[in-house]
This record gives sequence, C-alpha cells and structure tokens, in this order.
Amino acid sequence: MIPSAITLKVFGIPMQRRSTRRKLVVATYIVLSSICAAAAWSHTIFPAGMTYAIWSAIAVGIFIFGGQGRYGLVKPFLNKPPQPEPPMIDLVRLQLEPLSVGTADSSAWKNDERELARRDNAHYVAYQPLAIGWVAVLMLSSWALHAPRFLSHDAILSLIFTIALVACVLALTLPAAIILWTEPDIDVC
Amino acid sequence: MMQESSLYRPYLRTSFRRRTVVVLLYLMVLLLTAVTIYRHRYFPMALLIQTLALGSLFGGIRRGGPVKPYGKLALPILAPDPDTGDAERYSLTGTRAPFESMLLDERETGQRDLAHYRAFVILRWVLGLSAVAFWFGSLAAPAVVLPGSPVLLWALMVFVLSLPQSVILWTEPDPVPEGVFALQESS
Repeated sequence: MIPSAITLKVFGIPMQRRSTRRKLVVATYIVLSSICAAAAWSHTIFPAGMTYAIWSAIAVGIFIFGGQGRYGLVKPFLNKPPQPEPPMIDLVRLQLEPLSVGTADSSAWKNDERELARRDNAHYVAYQPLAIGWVAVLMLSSWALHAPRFLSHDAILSLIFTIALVACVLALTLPAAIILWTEPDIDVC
Repeated sequence: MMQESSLYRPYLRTSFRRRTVVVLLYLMVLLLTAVTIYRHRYFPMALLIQTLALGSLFGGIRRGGPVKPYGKLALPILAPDPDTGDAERYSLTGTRAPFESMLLDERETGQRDLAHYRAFVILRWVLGLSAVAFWFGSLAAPAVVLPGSPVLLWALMVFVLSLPQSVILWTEPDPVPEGVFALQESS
C-alpha cells in the first residue's frame, strides 16, 4: 500500500519503520485536534476557524497521509493511472532513457490484490467511528430541541459543531491513517 | 452477501428489484424530510427511532435485513480428527448451525469491505455538497433551512447508516440461472 521504500520520507524523516509511522500519525492527530479545539472554542467570535480545521485535514490527507492523489505516503486509492504526460516529455525521455519508454512505471499507482483488500478493510474500519459520530450529533441535536436547564443551547450547539468537525476531519484522514498504522515495517534491501 | 432467507430472497432476486427498493427508500426519506420541514413539527424521539429503523432497514448493522450482518469470518466447525482424535482440526464439510451460516465468509468479507470503500467515497462527496447546500440555503432561505436543520441531519444520518447496505444491494449480481453451466459444458 506504500509505494516506495527508498523515497518514503516526510519532512526528511524516513518512514520505513512502522513505529515511526505511528508516531507521525499520533503527532498529526494531536495537531489536528488542537486546531479543532481552537476552532470550536472560538467559533462564536471567529467562525472561519472551522474552515481552517477542514482545510488542514484536506492538506494532511493529500500531502502527508496520501491516498487522495499522487502525493503522500499511501498510494492513491482510486487505482487508476495518472494523467498521460504531454508528448514532448515522451520525446525527451526517448533520448535519455530509450529502454524505459513504453514500460510504464505502474508500481507508484497500481494496487495489487492485497493492497486493494487492505484499502477496503481500512475504509470498513474507518466507517464505524464516523457513523457513531453522526449518531452522536443527531442525538445531541434532538436533545437540543428540549434542552435541560443546566445546559444552555449555546453549549449544546458548540458540542454539535465540535463533533461534526471531528467527524469531517476523520472522514478525510482516517482510512489512510489506519493503513499507515497497521502496515508492517518495509524492508529497504 | 444476501441473506438466504425466504422472506427477502424471492422478492429481491433480481438486481432491478433490489435497485428499485434502494431508490424507493431514499425517495421515502426525501419525502418525509420535506413533509416534516413543511409542517414545522418535530418529535425528537420519533426522529431518533425513525433514523435507526430506516438506517438499518437493509440489515448489515443488525440481523434480520436482506444484507447479512457484518461480523467475523465464518470458521468451519470443529470436529475431531478420525485418525488422531485431535479436536483442533477444522471440518470443511457437513452442516452448520443456522447462526454460523449467517456469518460472512472470505468472499463476502471482501464484498463488505469494498462496499464500505465505495460508500466512503460517495459519502465524502455528499458531505461536502450538503455542507455547501446548507450554507447557501441558510443564506437564501434562513427561515426554512435553519429551523429544519435537525430534520436535515436526520436525513443525512439515515443516508450514512444505510449507504453501505445500499451499495451491496445495488452491486450484487443477478444469480446465474439453473442449467447455464450444463449448457456451457454440452456446447
């Protein structure tokens, strides 16, 4: 599921070892949780903070965890070849590497059967907390219609926004994080 | 992935019927949402019960629906080895208890995971589009959209809960008619 053991680096740190990848996942979620907490705390005075949390999750999903495109640690989930290069690049490559022309490097994007199974299972596992989060949002919103005296409407609304925000962040990042967490060490040799 | 039940199997045999049922469920949810917002009368407990009932209508997250419950892999039953008497040997033949037949085998587990992957992809788009639609709606018609947000959330919740099962029902192939293999062999 992880494309290349040689170039597997985030901020210059090699990610072949599973323990390093787990540290990266934990550190990333600590940062994302801090952003979500700051956004939820200041959403009455600074509503745009919510969008910053979503943008951060999108950036993490694309550029660090991967799975969404050509960047990041995890191969693209789509399992489709990237856009064909313009013909000029093919001509240049023909002069530089005549043997490699015509042999498309599919290891960077193509998932084999095991990797597809890992991808699907990671999404199955990630779907459970997401559904539970939305059930919690629904329960809280139903409760907010007849809120008790000891809890104000604003407090319940803040809680709803926070849980919805966390659910959105998880929807954008969790499957790739599960793959990074569970994939075994990569042998460099 | 479909339940071998006399209750559902005859009615949901073809993919056309299964897809019709899926479309009907979401049309019903849309209709209920529109009527509830129009009438401005919300009963929180009723909304919650309806969500769980409609969301689990197709099974999967509970027993009894047309889709098998998502669970652990079905292991072959334990039987003693006739030669050594070792009870740890798995028997690959013989009948199974009814509950064990409801568990998923390896192929069905793969189908379940693939359905969740597809549901996840759909859900990302739906969540993004509904957030944008809610934002525009709250600007254009705040008197309608903002008080109706619990009902919109309810509809989204039904969608989230039922989507993987709907994907399974939508993509399950039609059963091969009897006699096809015999015809292929004879030809």
